[in-house]
Amino acid sequence: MQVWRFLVLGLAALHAQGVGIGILIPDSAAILHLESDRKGLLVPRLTTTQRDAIANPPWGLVIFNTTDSILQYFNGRCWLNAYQESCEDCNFTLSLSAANGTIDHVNTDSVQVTVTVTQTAGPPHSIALQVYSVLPQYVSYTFSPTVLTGSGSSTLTIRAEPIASGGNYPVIIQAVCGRTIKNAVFTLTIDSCYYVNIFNSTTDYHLTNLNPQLPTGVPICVVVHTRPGVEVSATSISNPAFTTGALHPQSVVALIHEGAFIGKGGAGAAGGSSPDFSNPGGNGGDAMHITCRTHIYLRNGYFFGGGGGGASVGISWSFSVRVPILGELSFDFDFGVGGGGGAGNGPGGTSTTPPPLFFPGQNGTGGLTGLGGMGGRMYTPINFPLGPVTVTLTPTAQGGDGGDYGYPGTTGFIFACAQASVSLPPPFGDIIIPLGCYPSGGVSFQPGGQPGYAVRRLGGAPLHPYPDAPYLTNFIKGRIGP
Amino acid sequence: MSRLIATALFALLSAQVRIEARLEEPSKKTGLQIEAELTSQYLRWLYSGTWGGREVPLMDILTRPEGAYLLDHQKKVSYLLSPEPPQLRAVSTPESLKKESALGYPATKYRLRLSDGSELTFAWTKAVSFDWRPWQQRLRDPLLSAILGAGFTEGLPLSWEHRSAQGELLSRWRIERIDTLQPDPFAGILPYDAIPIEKAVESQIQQK
Repeated sequence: MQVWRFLVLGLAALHAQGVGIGILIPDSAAILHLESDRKGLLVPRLTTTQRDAIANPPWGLVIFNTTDSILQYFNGRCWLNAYQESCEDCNFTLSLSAANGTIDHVNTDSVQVTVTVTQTAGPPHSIALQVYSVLPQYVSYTFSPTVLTGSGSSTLTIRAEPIASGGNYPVIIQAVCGRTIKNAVFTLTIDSCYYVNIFNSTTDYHLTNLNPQLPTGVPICVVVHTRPGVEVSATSISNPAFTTGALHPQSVVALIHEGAFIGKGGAGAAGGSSPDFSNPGGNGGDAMHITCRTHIYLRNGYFFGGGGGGASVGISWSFSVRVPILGELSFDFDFGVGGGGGAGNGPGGTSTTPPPLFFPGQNGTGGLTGLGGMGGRMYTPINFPLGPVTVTLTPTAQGGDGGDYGYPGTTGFIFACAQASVSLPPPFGDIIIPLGCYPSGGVSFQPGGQPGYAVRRLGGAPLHPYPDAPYLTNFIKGRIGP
Repeated sequence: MSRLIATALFALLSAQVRIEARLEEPSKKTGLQIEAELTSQYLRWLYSGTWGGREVPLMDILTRPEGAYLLDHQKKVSYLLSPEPPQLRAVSTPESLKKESALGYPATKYRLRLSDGSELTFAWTKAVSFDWRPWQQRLRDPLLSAILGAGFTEGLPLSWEHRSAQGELLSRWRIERIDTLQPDPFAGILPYDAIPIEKAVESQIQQK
């Protein structure tokens, strides 16, 4: 009797406001109202295969897909994920060819991983790829291609510059198709490089000689950091201001350059031998030599190849003048001037065996504001008196000027104008007789020296990011090349 | 008294004179003996001695109204001379120092300061009435030009001494003999064809 009373009452409640479990009065809008603070609703758990085996699923049938781990429903035409609206919505799988990779800078500066997407629902959609996580500084990536249509693969290349900080970094790779987003994680490992700081100005910096902790028998990665205000200059044109030294040729150097590398100025030419006393100017020294792959990070740093030295010039003449009745005069005249030294303290040209009358060139100056020295100059008139006749030679001789940083020295030139003056006794005065200027046909002299390299690539060592060329910028003066 | 009369008479008659003079320039190692004929038609100068430390052959220079010529009797050529204008000039009025007499001619000694700081003292006589004015533009010697420029255009400079600002003797001139000149109507004629001396100068420069 009691059982029947409950059944009747229950059916009446069901008919009136639905079934409540864990609640006495179910929501009036619900046909089944479940209420619990300890348990959930467990819908049927099917794999995709099992799901697809349901014959004629009714519209609205709900399952939990254990293959994709997602709640799905049947919309009358197809099975959809809970957040999807139509059968045309995109769905896909995302996979990586590798879960991790390492950049050691020496053997490789990048890693590659193949990203594969397989569209599982909807017509072929554009699936965009990106790296979701923030990568460390000096690490970059590219997808090739960045967008896939439907299913396909893209190559993700992650590149780390030598100055990137070493460590392990999770790289979240994300594929987006409509409202469907899939993520995968790749672990990137960047090996650390040796680190060398140059805090003080110095000369002739030889990386491996001055840093014995750097192995030379195996390829390594070295980051060199020249600090602001540091000047490294060369004491000779035989040496660069800075060299990577005896590092293994497969090593990698990254130079963070906030200082200055300054090559030695070329020597101004000394007086040569007769008859023209001309010698070519000396070549300027190099600012930097690299012996392995080198990356330059120029941060207000300077590479100045030493200026070329100026050429010397001179001449040796035999001169004769005959003024009727008054006199005849002949003499020899040798004179010369030295070339100026190139910027970077290139010495001005002097000579151990100069012509008797010789004017040396000036030294070039050093430091960041250094300039080429001026070639020797000679303008002083010289008198050759004999009796009443005085022949005055006014030479104009300029030795080649030393080049400024990155510039060659110049050649010199020379000529002289002559005049005879006769001092007549009273009541007459002086007679001036122009005799002309020489040489009229010109004399060929030696050239000035070439400037030193800003960066010289020894053994074909690659340099990034500056291509081979002559440079005359504010920060690079001189050639970059082999 | 008789001497004064003779002098006055000579002055009247000596519009044409012949002089012998000596010029010394110690710093230039020059010691020249000069014979000159001074007339209103021409001036003729004969130089011999040491010039610039070198013995020079006899030089014969003829000054005519249109120019001065160095005569090359060997080649029979007259070289036209075109001296530069003098750089020196007097910067003071002549200062009369004293009266004196030389070669029997009364003279007055003057002092002139020149533009380079040097000092010229000279004895000028008007007893020989030679007029320099027609020749003033032709005479480019700085000392004589300075004297003429200071207004001494009538007479002769019997002597001068030119000293540097430091007192060094630069030049000394002294007339040693004065004679009347017998007029020679052919003496002032240019004997040879003239060419500028610049065109006759030969020069050669050779690179060794």
